[in-house]
Amino acid sequence: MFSALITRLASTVFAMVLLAASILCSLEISAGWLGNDPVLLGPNFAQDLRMRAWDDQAIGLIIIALGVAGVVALFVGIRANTRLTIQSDSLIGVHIERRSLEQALSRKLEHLDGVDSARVRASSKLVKAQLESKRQYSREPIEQMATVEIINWIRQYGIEPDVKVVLTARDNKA
Amino acid sequence: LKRLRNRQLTIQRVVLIVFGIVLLGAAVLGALLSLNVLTLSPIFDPETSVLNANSDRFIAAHTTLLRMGGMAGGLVAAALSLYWLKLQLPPAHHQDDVKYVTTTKSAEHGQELIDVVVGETLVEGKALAHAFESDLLRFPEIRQARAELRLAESTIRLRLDVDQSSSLPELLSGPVQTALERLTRVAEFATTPMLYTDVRLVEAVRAKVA
Repeated sequence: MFSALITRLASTVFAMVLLAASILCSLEISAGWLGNDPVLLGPNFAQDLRMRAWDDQAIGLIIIALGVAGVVALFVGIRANTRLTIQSDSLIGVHIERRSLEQALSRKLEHLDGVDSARVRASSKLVKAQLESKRQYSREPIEQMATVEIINWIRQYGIEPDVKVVLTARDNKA
Repeated sequence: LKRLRNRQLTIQRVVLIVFGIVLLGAAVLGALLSLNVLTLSPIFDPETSVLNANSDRFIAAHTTLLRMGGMAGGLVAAALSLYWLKLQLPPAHHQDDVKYVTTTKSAEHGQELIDVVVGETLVEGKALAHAFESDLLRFPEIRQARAELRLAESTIRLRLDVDQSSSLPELLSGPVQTALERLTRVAEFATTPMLYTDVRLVEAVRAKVA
């Protein structure tokens, strides 16, 4: 959900910037074609560029801004996991909403003995659960129990991903 | 349906990646010029100003071409950005209406008996969708239902909120299938529409303790 929101936000901002730049470009070219001075950039725009060297501070700032915007766009585009649903293999035409599946699994795992809180991330290929316990239990039995619980419960939705469970014991006294 | 937004978001990610590569590429070239590491041509010469005598001559020699290219580029960029913005809008809901033609049994027309059209009844897709939703909501495991009748494609898009404790396969093959068959029969569809269902799992309702 958060990834989808970030993608939408970044897309909206970049699309508006691109639209503004394209309108500006078309407007200034039209003005030049009609023999007028630049409308928004000002009559001295070309002269200003003739005065500025490539290592000018303003040019440097524009280059840095372009670079930062490019890195942000690339980062959001590559990193975001935006799949909002997970397709069921056995139930024809059925998708399960990812966020609700993660929350339902978390609630289910929190009912297990020795688990105090659970955080689940799910995709069609991998379900990753991070469990937290306030007591110093042996990790393996709880992780195994949680893995079996996840596999058994998620199977009814026709989803068979790999399951990874990690239990962190948190010392309550500390 | 959320699954429709998956495609929108994937396209947006691709556009973001392409846009990022273009911006980063421009920034890297600009930085190389600015740091006097690279000379692309006499037009982009780090030893001179951004607009130099060579670029002035180049612009003067190719003014029409550059203007046409600039306009075309600007319009393409504007179209792309508008499409990009349109992707932010959620997919529109659309309900197909159903028209029933009412005829008398027969009437004399010369020697022949023919059917005579006496009227038309239009049932809004929204009304049928609501009827389908109400039918589904009779089952306590289904907490919320939202249907979209796309009868031209013979499909129904359905979003269901179901109790996480209920068995989804049983729910789909039982109540949902029954409601779909009932809708098909009542609305006199030629074939049973294909159902595309997005399921949201919700916490089971706790019984009140007296």
